[in-house]
Amino acid sequence: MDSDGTVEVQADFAAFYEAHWSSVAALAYTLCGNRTVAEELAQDAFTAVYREWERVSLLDRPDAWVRRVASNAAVSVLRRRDREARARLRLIAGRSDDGARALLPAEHEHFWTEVRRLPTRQAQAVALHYLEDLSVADIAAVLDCAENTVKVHLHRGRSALAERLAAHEEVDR
Amino acid sequence: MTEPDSRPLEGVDRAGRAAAAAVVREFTAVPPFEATASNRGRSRTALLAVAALVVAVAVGAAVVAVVATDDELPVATDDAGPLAPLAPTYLPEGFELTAVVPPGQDGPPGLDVQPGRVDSYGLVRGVAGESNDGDLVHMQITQAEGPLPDDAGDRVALDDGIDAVLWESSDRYQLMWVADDTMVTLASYHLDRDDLVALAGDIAGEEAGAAPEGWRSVPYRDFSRGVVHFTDRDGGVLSLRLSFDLDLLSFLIAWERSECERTADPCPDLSTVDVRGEEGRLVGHVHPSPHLVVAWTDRTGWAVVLEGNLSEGELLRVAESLEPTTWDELLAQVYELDHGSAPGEFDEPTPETNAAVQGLVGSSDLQIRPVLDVAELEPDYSSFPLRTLGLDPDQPARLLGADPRQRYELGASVLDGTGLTRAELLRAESIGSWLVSLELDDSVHDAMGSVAETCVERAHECPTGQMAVVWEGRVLSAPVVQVPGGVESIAITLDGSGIELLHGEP
Repeated sequence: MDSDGTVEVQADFAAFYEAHWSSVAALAYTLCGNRTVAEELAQDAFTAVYREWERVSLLDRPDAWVRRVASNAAVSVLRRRDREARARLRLIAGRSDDGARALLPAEHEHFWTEVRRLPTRQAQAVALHYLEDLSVADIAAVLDCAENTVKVHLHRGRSALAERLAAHEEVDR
Repeated sequence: MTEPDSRPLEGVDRAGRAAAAAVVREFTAVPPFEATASNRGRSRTALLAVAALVVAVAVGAAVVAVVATDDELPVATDDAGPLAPLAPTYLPEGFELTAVVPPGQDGPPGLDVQPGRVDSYGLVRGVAGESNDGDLVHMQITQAEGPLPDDAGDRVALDDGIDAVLWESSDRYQLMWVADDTMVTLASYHLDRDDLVALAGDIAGEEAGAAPEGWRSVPYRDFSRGVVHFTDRDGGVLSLRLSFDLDLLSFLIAWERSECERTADPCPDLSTVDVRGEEGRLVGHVHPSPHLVVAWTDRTGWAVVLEGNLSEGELLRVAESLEPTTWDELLAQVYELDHGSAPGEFDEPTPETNAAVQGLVGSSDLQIRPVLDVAELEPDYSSFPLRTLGLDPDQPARLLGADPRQRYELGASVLDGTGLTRAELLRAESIGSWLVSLELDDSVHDAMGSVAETCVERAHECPTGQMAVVWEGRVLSAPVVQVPGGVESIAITLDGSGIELLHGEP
């Protein structure tokens, strides 16, 4: 350990971090909707991996593990969103909040907002499906469930999104 | 049979791919990973940081500014205990942080502002009871600090000659008497004056704490979240407690005015110190002992209590110094403390927790019920769901959730502990939490699956699609059921984030 408390990071972990941080942070954003929080969650997920690296690195899919940690943390944040919303709104009124500011063009932001309204597992499956174009098997590995279950989540999630997006388009016309 | 129209899904796929590409473009820059010796345990607090920041911004804007003008006052820090994030952000002028005491633990000697009180962390201690008719009564038992006050409430003679004092509030009666250095207080929403006096007569001659005949004892749940102590240079002690306590609310309402009027000091006009607005309204102050109490409540049961061995004026000055936004921020903090749990962190469950989980088999304390409706509670204490104990499994119920602002309308119970063959705690690596794993008896697989199917289909039996886990009369979790079919086991996350109905391999 260095004098400032910094610990040397193993080369293989550094490569893993470099390869997956962006997609993990993006995944967290699609599920929680706040850039600052998403980056924090991604860092936390990799910190968790780092602490368990000797064990996690032996897994078949360490990338699935870190995505699972981040996506579960993100939906946990999302669940708390409603009860925190009032407090946050009062606080940020009149203040800048870079994390809460819309990150994407309106139509894309609206898409992810609708994804977040889906039941948790559906939202996770849909986000993984579109964001990284993962196969059903890969999504099942991340969510730690059966492939058939993923198929059900994806079908229901996409169907619900189709209805909601269509309704939104109707209103816009 | 016609093929389903795939065009809407194609449109979703196009929108999804475009939205995904937009997100990916925003996260291309990879920040450096800084591993430090101190980041061990960081993830435990990471999720709390959002709420801690909220508290810091809201309260700190007002309070820290005061601190900054007084260089002589030390800005105390304390990173131990669950309320630690709160303490440095709330620092009353003239006080310094002395201790943060988690629930159930003793604070430093000399800081208890209520000497002789049995329990520093809640106003109610003892037993609560429920009659066979469903009436609810709370019995508070504390060490007596002296005789009953002469001028509080109405004097009532109990059957065995014991003098008692009766308070009447808008929704309940309370009765207090002292015998053998023990002070007993009975309070009930349900009983009228004569019934409460008669009940007190039955109890007064018995061993303190015993449930009266025809009543059953039920455990009292302490929802206190801990105490933060502050002291000033003159030996004054100020304590801030966060708790969820229906009785606390009622006690304060009951003591409003009448207790104020018996003080030697001029009685303040409570309307002038009602600085909380619709939520977190200052409901009153009480003088039950040498200490004073000022409390806020949002009338759904959450309360912030300030106690101190200070003058009334000093305590009210501190109370009024709190910004109106404090209430929401304190609540947000409490929720985080209750439910925040980060992946990869495990706190070993206590032996008591293990025993409680194993005791679920055959018990009716745990029920699974379909959710008929969820409503935000009106800011009116009269809407409290009063019957939370001894739920009839065959009848619908109206219960509070883990977030006490939410009220659940529930259908009849579809499963309780009698349908279980095994209950155990499992360490769930994937979600960084502990799971309560419930194995269902073969005979209830299909029945449970049928109810799950009604939820998936949003049928009238389960229009919300949610299934609620009820534990000791409270909705711990009410997740959306997503997959129909026979259910063989249920996993409940201990942090309240959800349950999963586990099916056989599809």
